[in-house]
Amino acid sequence: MDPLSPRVTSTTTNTKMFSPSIEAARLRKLQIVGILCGFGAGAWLGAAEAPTKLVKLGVSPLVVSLLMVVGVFLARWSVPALIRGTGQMRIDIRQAPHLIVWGILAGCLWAVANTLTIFAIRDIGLSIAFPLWNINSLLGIFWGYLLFNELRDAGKLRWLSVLGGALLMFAGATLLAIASSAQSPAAHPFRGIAAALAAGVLWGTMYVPYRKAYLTGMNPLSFIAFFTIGELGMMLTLAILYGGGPDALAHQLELAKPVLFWLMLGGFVWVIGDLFQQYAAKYIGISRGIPLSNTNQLWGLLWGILVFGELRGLSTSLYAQVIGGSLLMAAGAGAIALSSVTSKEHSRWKQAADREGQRYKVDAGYVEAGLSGNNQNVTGGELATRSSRTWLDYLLVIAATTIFIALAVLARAPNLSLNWPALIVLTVAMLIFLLVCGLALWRTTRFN
Amino acid sequence: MHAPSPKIIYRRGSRRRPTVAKETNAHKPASVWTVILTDAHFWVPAIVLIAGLLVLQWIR
Repeated sequence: MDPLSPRVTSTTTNTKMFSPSIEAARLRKLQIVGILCGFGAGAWLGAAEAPTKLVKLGVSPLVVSLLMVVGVFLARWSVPALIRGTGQMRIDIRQAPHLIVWGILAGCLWAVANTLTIFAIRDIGLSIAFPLWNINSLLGIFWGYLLFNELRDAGKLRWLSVLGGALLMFAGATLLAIASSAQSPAAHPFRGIAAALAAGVLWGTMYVPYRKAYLTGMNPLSFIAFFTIGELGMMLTLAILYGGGPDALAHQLELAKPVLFWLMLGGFVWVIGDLFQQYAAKYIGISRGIPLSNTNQLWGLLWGILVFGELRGLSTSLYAQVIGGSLLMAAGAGAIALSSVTSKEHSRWKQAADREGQRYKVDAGYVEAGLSGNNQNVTGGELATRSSRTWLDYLLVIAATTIFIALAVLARAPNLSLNWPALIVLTVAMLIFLLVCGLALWRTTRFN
Repeated sequence: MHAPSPKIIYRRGSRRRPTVAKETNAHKPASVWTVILTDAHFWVPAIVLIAGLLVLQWIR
């Protein structure tokens, strides 16, 4: 059967219930993969800030953000093309076309939140702004519980682990943010606090579309491709609106030419981290996946201290804050990682997935295959074969690679003293995460 | 019970054989947009996005 043929939307197909629950061993495997991806996301998202630290030109933060998003856009179309091929993306669109809208909406949320953080840092400094927007993981837990049956029938111990862990991470993040802050006193405290809180709410709510997509069986590699359309469109609009118009933006882009590579490299690294975050949200839910990926703050701090020599020569009390904050974050992440999803809770997830499938008339087999990470797609109730990559996929990969190489040639080497041994160690750690998470995903789900 | 026969189209003046009309999505009870807009979950991120844009407009 042609895997791209239109799906059958008969009543029997749409309303059939899922087959008996995914067996316990499979569930356990998926959870381990999800937890690994959560930690991998933290490492890669934290490292994404590193290339931007090399940028010392007087470029507006909005333009910095926009250029990172351009790098993100390139990566979000080329990486899925390389891993699965765009043919698989077409199958996902046929099965769940509504998720294009959800993906674009999530991208818009991200872009607005990211822009708000720029203004929040300007007005109240990183130390106050960061903990405020870090409420996103608590909000993620709330939406996960309210809308998607997460943590329902999970038992008091697991509730304690997840909520307690998230609160510990919040406290740790606050300590770290205060310690790592070198900002001047707040210029516009009320506006800054509003911006930081709004960013937290937007990011916390952005996980609603994520969960919606993954409960309906959507593959993260497809979802991020739609997500990035909203992200780039909204970011470009905001950069033009708030950056002084198209001419001013073009001037800023011209100024940024020598650092384009570093910014887009940051975007590329960010995409790898975000991809792991998406898989974490898919297999362990947003209530557990998002706090785990918030360990990115720890990694960002490690890069700052070890590679860029930040916080050098500060008081012992500040170092104590850094160590204390890091330990709190690690303890919180550990508590969440140990709070596994029980079969009872998983059956509640399946109820939510069933509800979504029926509402949007998604093939029940497709939804179940997505939930259990099977390497098969279901079209019209029958198993479809995996399509191979086409010329379009190779074109996307070649185009993205060519752009990155061209920008690397144009790039100016940063005039900064870096701690190279630390840089190599952290890079190796990231690559280990990439290898371990990638292998775990491949063995368990074949990236499905 | 038999399923309804596919609609056969005869083109005037055509020498070709009659063709079977393509199945359309007209039988669907609601379009994708209708389902999305009537999904309460959709309005959570949509309202948050609008509110976020308003905050951005205010603080910039």
